[in-house]
This record gives sequence, structure tokens and C-alpha cells, in this order.
Amino acid sequence: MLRVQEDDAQAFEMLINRHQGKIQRFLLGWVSNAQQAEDLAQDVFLRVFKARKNYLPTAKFTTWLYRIANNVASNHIRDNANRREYQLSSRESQSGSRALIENIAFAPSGFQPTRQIDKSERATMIMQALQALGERQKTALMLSKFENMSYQEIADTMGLSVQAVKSLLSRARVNLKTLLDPYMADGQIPTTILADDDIDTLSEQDKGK
Amino acid sequence: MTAQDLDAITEQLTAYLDGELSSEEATAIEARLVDDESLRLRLADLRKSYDLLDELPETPFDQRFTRSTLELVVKELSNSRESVTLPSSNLSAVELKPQRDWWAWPRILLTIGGLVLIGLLLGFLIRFNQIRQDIRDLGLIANLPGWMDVKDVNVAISLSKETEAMGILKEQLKERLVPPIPSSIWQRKNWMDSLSPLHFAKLDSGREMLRKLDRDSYNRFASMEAKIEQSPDSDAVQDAIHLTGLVMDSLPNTKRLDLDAMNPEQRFQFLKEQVYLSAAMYYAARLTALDTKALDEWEDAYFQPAIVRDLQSPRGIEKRTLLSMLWFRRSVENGYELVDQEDVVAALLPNLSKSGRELLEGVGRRDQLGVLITWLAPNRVASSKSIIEEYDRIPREARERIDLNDPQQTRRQVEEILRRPNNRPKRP
Repeated sequence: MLRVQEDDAQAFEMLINRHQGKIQRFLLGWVSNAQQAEDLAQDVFLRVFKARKNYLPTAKFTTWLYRIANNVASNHIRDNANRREYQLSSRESQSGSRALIENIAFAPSGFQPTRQIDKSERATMIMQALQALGERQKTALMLSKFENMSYQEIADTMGLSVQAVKSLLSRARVNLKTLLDPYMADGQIPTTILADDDIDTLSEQDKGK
Repeated sequence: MTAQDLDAITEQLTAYLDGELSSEEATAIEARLVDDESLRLRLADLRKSYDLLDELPETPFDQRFTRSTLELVVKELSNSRESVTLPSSNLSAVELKPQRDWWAWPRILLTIGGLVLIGLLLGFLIRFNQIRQDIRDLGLIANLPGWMDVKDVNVAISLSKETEAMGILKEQLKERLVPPIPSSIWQRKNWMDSLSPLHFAKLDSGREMLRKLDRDSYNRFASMEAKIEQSPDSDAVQDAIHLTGLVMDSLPNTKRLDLDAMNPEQRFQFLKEQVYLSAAMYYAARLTALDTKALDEWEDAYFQPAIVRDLQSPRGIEKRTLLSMLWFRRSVENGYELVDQEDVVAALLPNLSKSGRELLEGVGRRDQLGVLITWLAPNRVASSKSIIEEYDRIPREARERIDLNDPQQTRRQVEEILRRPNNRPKRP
């Protein structure tokens, strides 16, 4: 990154090569398809380059990178709030793999999905569940899972306290379990939109079990 | 278990799975897990759902993404006119250099600088070409005054073979003679360093003459000079041309104009006589003992009697006076021949040195007498001083009739008075 600050194009190219996969996967947790994730990822790297002079070497680069990615994703979600592209519950907005999953879920019992869907479809289902999490839970969970960030690093990235991160990650795991349990048990797809505001509700349901 | 308790234990289990608990906290959790099956199940659920995320594939590396991202960055920077250059990377297919306006001024300045540089270079080349042309024409510049008289290569070569006269002239005029010009342009630099201010003045004059030549004349002279420079006796011929020019410089222009009407053979003869006359005059100062003896004997035996005969003068006039009279009366300066000059000169020639003989033979008949008078008595050539001396010897009563304001009249009157028997000067 220090070389990128000196306008070294090759270093910037290396940086894109190194982080493009993880950034796109991170953004896939926010949007409904790979193309959107790719567009957002490009936006992330563009912002990285534009803001390169502001980068302080004292901060871990990935912390800085994911803070930008998180902002890009959040802005995108807010800008497209009315479109509700990320809502799993809207039957009318179903398309592509989501429709496939739902069709599988509502298929006759002789074609129970748990055993029939293949690995890629399971991944799609998990991604849907991830997308259904609230923004902060999702971000914390992905930074923990995919970037192996410590609570402290996640806190730095998200601008939260370590305790808040601890709480977020706990609720994210519980909510993820709640979303995926019906599917894992009998092939039902996640049907609930989970914003951070919904966490308490979900947690209450979970506690009741 | 209250909801807060459940949240708290869930947070601890999550932190335990994430390795974020201290060793003491981890030990405490593990102790509870041993005793509490529901807690173990909850831990397993939390781990299971979390592990499911492993099935999400990482987006594969895509070179196309990198390229399109770099293109996007370049495009954005171009729009924002940010002064950043992204040099080419290993993505050879991508044009990473944006078109930026901030290059405009440097480009303009570079263009102006380039034009100025080209202008200076052109000026230098023109000047250099002019200097090179001058250096190339150096031989012609140095010899042009001589060429104007010689006008012909063969005439120049023939003149260069008159070695006796040319040798004397070269020695006498060495201060004014431009040294032989090297054929190599590169050697001419050292040659120029050896020139004196007088040489430079002559070269400047030659260059001015060259500039005034029309194209045909220039081509003709340049062609002749080129032939001379390529000839084996180049130095001798160039000296001859140059010396001839110097000799002709001392003559009235009317004589030079006569050259235009002459054919090469006539021109050679004329120039040769002028060259010999000039050399013979200079030779007066370097007569050998043999020459002096021969001249003295010849003067008494042949020359004086011949003059007396020619002037029909009375005998007994002092030789010095006789010569002066001859000089004034017959205008020897403009050429004069004795009636029996050929016989008289023939009596002298065999007794002269080789140089003296060759010089006298080379001089034209009309000038031989002047040369002989100069050789015989160079200090007796008529001068104002000698006139005054002669005047002093005239009786005082006779002087009053002489008009001193008119030199010609004075000469005639002195001559007339001295010719009278009673006015003959007394021998010292």
C-alpha cells in the first residue's frame, strides 16, 4: 500500500489481484448477484486509490480496506432500499437461484432438497441466509470468518467496541443458525429478513426453543 | 435461565469458539461444558452454523476484473484531472495512461523549446555552412587578386617556373605572402593560427572580392583554383599567383586593364616581364661582388659612351650627373631604350652572375635601362635631394632664372644651365 501511495501502478495492480476475491465474497453477503458484487468491488478499489494519500501505515491495511468495503456496501444498500433487491421474503422479487431454492423447498416430499441439492446450491442457500442478516452482524461475521480478524481488528474496522463486536458476533451466529435450521432440517429456505433491529426478536425466538 | 443469562453464555461460547477468551475464561467455560449437555448442544449449533460459511467459495481470481478496475480508475482520474500517472503494467492490453490536460503546458513549453532549438540549430548550420564555404574557398580567397591578373591556369603554371624571379620576390615579400594553404580542411585550423594580422587583412580583402563576383566568374575561378590545388606543384603555383598579384598591385590600373585584351601567351609575357622587373629592382640590394665588378667595367666601357651617344651630350659630364639627366630627360621610369641597347646589354650579360643574368634577360627591353641604372647607382637615382645638390652647383647669378615652384621647369632649367660649358660643375 505504501507503494500505491507513491502512485506505483504495479503495486496497485498487485493489491487488486491479492484482495479482489475476498472483497467480492465480502460484498456478495450484501447483494443478490455476483455482477453487483463485482461492481461494488471495483468501487471499493477505486475509493482505495482515491484515498491512498490518507492511508496511515499505523493502521492495518485490511482493516482500512474492509472499512471502505463496508461503507461502499452500506451506501449501496441504502441507495437501493426502495428496490428491496436483497429481500428474501418478497415472492414477487424472486428470481434466479432464489426461485430455484424456493422451488426445491416446496417440492414434493419424494424430492426432499436436503439430499438432492448439490454443493453449489447449498452455498447459494447459505449466502441467502448471510444476506438476510443485519448489516453489522453480517459485517462482523464475515470479517471474523473470512478475514480471520480478531475482535479488536473487527472493532477497529467497524468503529465499535470489542464488547459490541463480541455481542454482534454472538447474535450473528445465533441468527445464522435460526435462518439455516429449517433448511438444514427439512429443506425450507430462510424466509425472514433480519435487520439489526430484528436481532432481539430472533434471539427471543431462539431462547424459547 | 434468563434471556440476559442466555445472551451472556452465548457470547461466551461464541468468544470461546473464536479463541477470544482468556485462558481463565476458557477454562471456566470448558468446566461448564463438561457438566451441561444443553450448553454443549448450543456450542455445537453455534459451531455448525458458523462452519457452514466455509461452503461459500471465495470468488476466483479474475484477471479481467483487475484490468477493468484499473481502466475504471484511469477513467475516474481523467475525469477528475488528478495528476497521477499510472505507468503501464503487465496488462499490456490495457491503456493505462490517461489523457490528462496537465500535460498540455509542458507539451507547449517543450514544443516552443524544440522550435527555438531547431531555430538555433538552423542558424548554426547556416553560419557553419558559411564558415565551411569560406574555409573551402580559402585558396581562392588568398589568391583571388593574383587570379584577377593571371586569369589562366597555364599562365599560372608557366609563371611558377620562373624560379629566379619568384624566389627573390618570395624572399622580399614574405611578410605579405599568405603561407601555402593545406589541402585538408581540418589542417586549415592550424594554418589559420599561424597567420599574421597582415595576412588576415589580405584574406578579408580577398573574401570581399569573392562576394562581389558573379556566379560564372566565381565558378571559373573556383574551378581554376581546384585544378591548382590538385596539381603536384600546388604550393609553387599558388605562390606564383599570389606574388604576381602583389607585383601587379604596385602598377597603375591602366596597365592591369590592358591584360583583359591579351591572349594567354601575351598575358604570360607581360606578367613575366613585370615579375622580373620587380625582382630585378629588389636584386639591386643583393648584387654579388661579381655583378658589381662586371657592372663597373661595363659602365665605363659601354654604358657611358652609349648614353653620351644617345643624348648627344658633351663628354666630360660627371657620370652621376649624366645618369640623372638621362633619368629626367628620357623618363626612364616609363620605359626607355638606347639606340644600340641590344649590343650594349649583350656586352654585360656574360659577366654577370647567373641570377643577375637571368633577371636582366627576363626584364622587357624598355625596362632594362631602368634596371641597369638602378643596379649601377641605386643611390644616384634622381631625387629631390640630388636636384637640390645640382641646383647648388649652379652659379648664384644663374639661379634667379629658375622657378623653384615648378619641379619640371626646374629640372629643365638645371639641365640647360649645366649643359653650358661655363657652367659645367667642377670635379670634386
